[in-house]
Amino acid sequence: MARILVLGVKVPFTHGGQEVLVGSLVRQLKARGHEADVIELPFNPIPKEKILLQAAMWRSLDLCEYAGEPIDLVIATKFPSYFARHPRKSVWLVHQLRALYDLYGGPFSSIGDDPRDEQFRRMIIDGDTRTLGESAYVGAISRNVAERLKLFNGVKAQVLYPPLPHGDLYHSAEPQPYILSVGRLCRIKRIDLIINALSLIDAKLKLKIVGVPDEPGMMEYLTNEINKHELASRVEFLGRVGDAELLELYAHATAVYYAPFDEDYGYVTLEGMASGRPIVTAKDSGGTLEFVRHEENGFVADPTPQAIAEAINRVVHEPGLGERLGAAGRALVQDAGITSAGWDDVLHGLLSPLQEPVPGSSPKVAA
Amino acid sequence: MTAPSDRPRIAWFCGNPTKDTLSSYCTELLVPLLRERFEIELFGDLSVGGVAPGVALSTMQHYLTAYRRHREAPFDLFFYQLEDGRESRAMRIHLGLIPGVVWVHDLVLADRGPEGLYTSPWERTVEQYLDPSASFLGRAQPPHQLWPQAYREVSLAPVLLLSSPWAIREQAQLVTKRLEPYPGGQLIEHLPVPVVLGGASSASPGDECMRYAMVASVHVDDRAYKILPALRDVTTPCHLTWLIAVHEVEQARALIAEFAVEDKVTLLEGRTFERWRSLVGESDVAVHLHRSPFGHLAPYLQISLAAGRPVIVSDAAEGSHLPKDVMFSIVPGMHEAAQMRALLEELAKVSLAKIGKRGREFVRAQSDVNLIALKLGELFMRSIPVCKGCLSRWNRLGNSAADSLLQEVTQSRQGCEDQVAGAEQILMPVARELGWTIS
Repeated sequence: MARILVLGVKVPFTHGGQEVLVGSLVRQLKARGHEADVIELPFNPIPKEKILLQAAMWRSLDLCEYAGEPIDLVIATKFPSYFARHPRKSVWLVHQLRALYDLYGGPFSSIGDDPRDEQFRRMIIDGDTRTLGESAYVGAISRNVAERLKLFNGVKAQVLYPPLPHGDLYHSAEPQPYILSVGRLCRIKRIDLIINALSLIDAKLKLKIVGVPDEPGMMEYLTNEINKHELASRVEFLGRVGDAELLELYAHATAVYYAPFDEDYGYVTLEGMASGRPIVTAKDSGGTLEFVRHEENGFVADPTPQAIAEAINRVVHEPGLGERLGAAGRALVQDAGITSAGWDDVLHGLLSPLQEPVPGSSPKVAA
Repeated sequence: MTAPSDRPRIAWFCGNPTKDTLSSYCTELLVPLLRERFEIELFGDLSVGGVAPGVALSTMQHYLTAYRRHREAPFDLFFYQLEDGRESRAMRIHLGLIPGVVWVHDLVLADRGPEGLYTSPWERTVEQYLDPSASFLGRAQPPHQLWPQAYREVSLAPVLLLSSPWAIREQAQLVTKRLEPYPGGQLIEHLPVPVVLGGASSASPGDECMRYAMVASVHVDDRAYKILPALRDVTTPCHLTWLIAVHEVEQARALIAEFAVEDKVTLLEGRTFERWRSLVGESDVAVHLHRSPFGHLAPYLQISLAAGRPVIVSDAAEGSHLPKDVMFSIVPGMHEAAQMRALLEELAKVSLAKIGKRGREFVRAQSDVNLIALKLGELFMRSIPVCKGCLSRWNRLGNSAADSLLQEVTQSRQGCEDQVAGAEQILMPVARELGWTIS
């Protein structure tokens, strides 16, 4: 059995997919008899130039041993945790600093053509290429993330879809008249899109929003949009909810809305599918499109309020459509190996460096 | 990657290859002709659309990886085309990352561009390039907003090519501060949009009905609402085929109904260069009435002239620069429809073949694709020393930016002064290891 450190990145006061992934991974490692723990460093994106120091801090850590005992493997996840150095480093890439890559030049990036910004971009990209390239194993949480890595850094990654955090507990129940939105409240998740669509959606449907804001002014903005469209009686902010409550919310939703811009993976899509609910996503939602098939298990709509509303109204007005789409989604989740059984494949990849001896040192460790 | 060659290396930037943009049109025509003399690598925004349809564009790389290719195998010159529209955004952004030769197809931009352009401190960057002692803009200091004119893009071009003669005059008035590669300034040339001449197509005479072809949007500047009433009122037999973008078809139908010319107008849906080439070959006269400094007539106008067709243009912007003996011009304004009607009746009496022949000779001398490829090749050769000098100074600016950035990283915030030494101790060894330190 091996001593393994999972490297996580903590953005204070937020909770997202990476935290879920890290927690699930550690539990799975322990369940298989490994000694596993999490190392987290805080990540602060502002001011942007200080991100270099945060990457350097990961690089400066000595993770080869602790209290005289060797660490057999580290598993890095999200930028900049993979800057850490270790002779046996696996990466399960959640995402890079996207403002320098696919989001560059657009509304979700503050990196511009100031010569200092350009040097910053090159330093991080070169650093990514070097530190990811030196890894013994590289996996990515979705095809979308793997393709970005290949395109920009020339590093190949194996796609390892994260199994759902609640394993086989997802279930389907009698739909109730609400649309469910789950996720952090920030611009890139586009909660405003479903709020703006709501006035065009059958009035008997309400909108339940799970998640907390992680951008300044976001709650005020969303509240303003709700008031502008006089939708206060139809929108409910639930904040962060417990696991059991979340499972029930999924189970009873008429539809699950999840249409962020170019998402990396999107647990929400798959949790909704595992609960037998139709998913409504957008054509530019990235990782969600690896699972959602238009009119097969959900809707892939234009990212406009009209198109989103039209899709949801079809679920309301076409008898049996929601059930048919939901059943197809549930079947896809089973087939795709992202239920509990999927952990075998994930760990086979991430632990593969244990099969190789560290150059010039200890013999291989049982995986 | 292929083995290194002695040919000069060009980083060629192009708009979205999945659309009929002017830059992809020029690229498809010119790159195959220039590849014997130059080693060309193509860059564009691959995230906005799939792989290119054409041969030349099928090897395109993502524009944000160009700096790495430049480091692996240095380019002698970066080449950009500037046009109005979303497809041009990546080129506009990258021009601020590494400057180079800019071929301007649109000097006035309706597309104000993404945030990356709004927040560009390009004026200060140009100042720093010209005077290395100039300081960087304070992080909290907002840069100027952009104007519709391509000030930023033209300022960042040590070599400027303009495809419209009209634009040459405009840019001289608009832009005062540039990346002058040497005292005395920027190299500026007129380089027309290329066209393939091929064999002249002869319109089959058939009946006496005059066949007009028009490529236009429903936008007011394209003047469809002026030619439609003229068609309604004209007494000589005529028919107009209007090539229109798919998303504008309904509006075009409404216009046609408004002027009750359904029997005289056919809509051809799906605006592509190839479809225009085919349509104009089956017509007697081509209509190009766009009259605004926003937008241009290329390459439709050149395709019409190359097909040997007389053209009707507006006496404004680009249309006013054509020789008088290859076109008929209409003065935009109150009497435009009446002028148009008179012209349509007059055209039935003139020898169109002679005018068309003169037009074809005009584009043969100006815009033939082989000629433009030759000219562009010569311009590249003349520009390489200019661009090398510019890139060298640009690199010095980049090094200075890297130094400034690393200093910013270790700067303390008020109340945290004792963290500076620790930050330096952590940062600098890593910076040296990863090659972040420049000087």
